[in-house]
Amino acid sequence: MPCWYYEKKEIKNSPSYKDGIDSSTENRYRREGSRFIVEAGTKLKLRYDTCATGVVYFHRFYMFHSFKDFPRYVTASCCLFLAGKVEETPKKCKDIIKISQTILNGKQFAQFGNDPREEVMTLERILLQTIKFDLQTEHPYAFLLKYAKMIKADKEKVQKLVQMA
Amino acid sequence: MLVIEGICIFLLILKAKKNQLKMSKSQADEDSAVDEKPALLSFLTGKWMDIPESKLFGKCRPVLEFKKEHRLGEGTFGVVYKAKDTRVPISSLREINILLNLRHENIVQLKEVAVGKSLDRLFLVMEYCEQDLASLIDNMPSPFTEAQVKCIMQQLFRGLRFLHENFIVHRYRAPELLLGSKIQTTGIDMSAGCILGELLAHQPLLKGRSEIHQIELIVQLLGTPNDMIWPGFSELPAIQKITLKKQPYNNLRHKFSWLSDAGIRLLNFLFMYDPNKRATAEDCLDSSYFKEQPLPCDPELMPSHPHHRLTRSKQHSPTEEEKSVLYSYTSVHAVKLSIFKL
Repeated sequence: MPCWYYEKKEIKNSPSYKDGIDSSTENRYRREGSRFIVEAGTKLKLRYDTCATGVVYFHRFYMFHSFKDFPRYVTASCCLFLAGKVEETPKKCKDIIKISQTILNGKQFAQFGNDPREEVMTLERILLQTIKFDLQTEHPYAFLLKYAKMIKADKEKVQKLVQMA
Repeated sequence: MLVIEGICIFLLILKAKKNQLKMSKSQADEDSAVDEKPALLSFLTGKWMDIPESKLFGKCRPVLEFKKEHRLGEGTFGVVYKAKDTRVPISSLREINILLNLRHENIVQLKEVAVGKSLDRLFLVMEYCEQDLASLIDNMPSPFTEAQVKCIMQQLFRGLRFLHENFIVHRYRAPELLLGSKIQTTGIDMSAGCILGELLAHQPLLKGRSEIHQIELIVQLLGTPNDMIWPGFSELPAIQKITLKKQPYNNLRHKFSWLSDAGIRLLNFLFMYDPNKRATAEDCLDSSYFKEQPLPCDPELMPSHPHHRLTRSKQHSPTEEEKSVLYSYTSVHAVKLSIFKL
């Protein structure tokens, strides 16, 4: 299995950076993509874990490709689509696209081109081979909740703790 | 490295009766039977109308979207072909994901997934298995000895135990599923018992032609279940609709008259109606059957056999160096067959 841990300088020297996108812009793109995945996932009533898996795929994908080569919202939709399948909470591609349309503005949605479904489907293969079919991701959220329940403290404070994590 | 292309998708080629759809009518057309098109008789006009190409398949995908590769064998539903698909369906993804993450000596290893130049090509690089049990049984000149059977079963149970430890349940053939139960347990499905039975009897056990027939055969062999031995039995969905034949006897002893008591005990344990009482893989490995004579033979000492699978299909046979070969794997049969590393 490939190693998904990176050193700071590797992260800074990402494909997008080499392609002329400065770090702060890349960080913004990553945040926007992640937020979009969570928002679309929540609207589709997906579990948080599914969204989180999608976000992980998204970040991994852009460790190999530049944001210039692959428009971020298409990639994000595709990550959510694949995460849905892997986490056994599948959503139809066309439903994901429909939701995307409600979240994104016209210019952002134009990234999807004339045939959004085909666009996402094709990207799925690229995504799969980029992340080397390493699909299993483990999230800390279940553990976090367990720990939080064990902490004997003010309930509100614990709730805040969990939300911040 | 020898690879077999594509993700396996099972195409069920059903023999459709030719006359189910009325073919185009005129005499001339019937003579040139080759390109007959399906047609419908209109209720409104009483005339024949052609079905437009786009409506022909409804929401199903036309089979032509798959590229048929070669015949794998016969499954429950008909002839199974290996085929190529341009999309990545969830079932393939599930198996890739599961197999990629499982590492056990009795489970065939998916080493990696490789891709071809065009986007519709996926290659699953798997550990080389010399044989699969199904075609081996059909083709071997003399059946396995009891020691060899024990060796195979031990490997099977070890593979299954590992799967269950990892929360993967093999769904194959169990009466509670045939009878519509919604809950499944890690009590091994009866298929393990069927494999053991088949290996011992040298012929398939419970060879059902349909689900109903399958249930009848089970009842015939094991007796009719009731609420005493299987609590909750009478509440199973299918039992509301069908009545089982009364058959009070368990015929296992009769069928395997030469088998030791420990062997019968294991079979009975595997064929327990109540899934909660049925043997787990762990239970089976502890069975005294594996501790009595003849002892299971060492996997290293299993006899080698010619490669039937490769001789029957047109593939070129691998050379000694090509050890890392792909093994076409199938959703139902994957767990069942690929466990056997003989």
